[in-house]
Amino acid sequence: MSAIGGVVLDTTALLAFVSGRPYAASVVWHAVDQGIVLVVPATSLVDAQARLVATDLEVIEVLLDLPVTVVADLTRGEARQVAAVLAKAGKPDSLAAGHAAWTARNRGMPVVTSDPTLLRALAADIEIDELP
Amino acid sequence: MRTTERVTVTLPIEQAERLRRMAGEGGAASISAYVSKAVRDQLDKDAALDVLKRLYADRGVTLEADHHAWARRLLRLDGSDPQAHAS
Repeated sequence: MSAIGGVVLDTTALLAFVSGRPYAASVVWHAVDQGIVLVVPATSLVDAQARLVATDLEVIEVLLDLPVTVVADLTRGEARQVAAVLAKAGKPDSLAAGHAAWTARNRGMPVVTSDPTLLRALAADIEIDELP
Repeated sequence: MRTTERVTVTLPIEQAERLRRMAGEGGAASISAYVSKAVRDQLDKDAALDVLKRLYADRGVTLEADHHAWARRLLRLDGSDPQAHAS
């Protein structure tokens, strides 16, 4: 079996990378080494950045500058679909997680996360890889 | 002002034949473009890994064998079944 095309990093995975958790760091390392796309939903990026101090914001910039990193914007049409995910799960306040779940489903990629509970509640059909 | 430089490289015959096939009908210009892109991609990757190496060293991040193995499984780089380690 060949490598996957990419993975989605949710807010918790971004924070895990910034805080230096080695499993997250290793995923990023091997993704770069093998040319595997790291998809960062724009709302997850905002969510993570809002929780970081200035020095840590520089670390997330390193991640964003990697040649394999792609920021998934939230367009007008996608907003409606993400909203449907949130509404169906009864979690209208979970925008970043809903965007990550929808992005994973839409791109057929797994989500890397430290906290799979919310993602499972939002989209039971997506593949979730929990960081140890 | 000149922006390109002619460089002579030596390749195994099998690689040179594959390169000619992949570059198609465009001749030397296509081969140059193909090789230039490959070199650029490799340079970008090596630069990115160097940045990560320095970042991890600065922040005291040490990657052990089990971290590498876990990440390689997650990214299906070990030929594993995707469902075998799904949460």
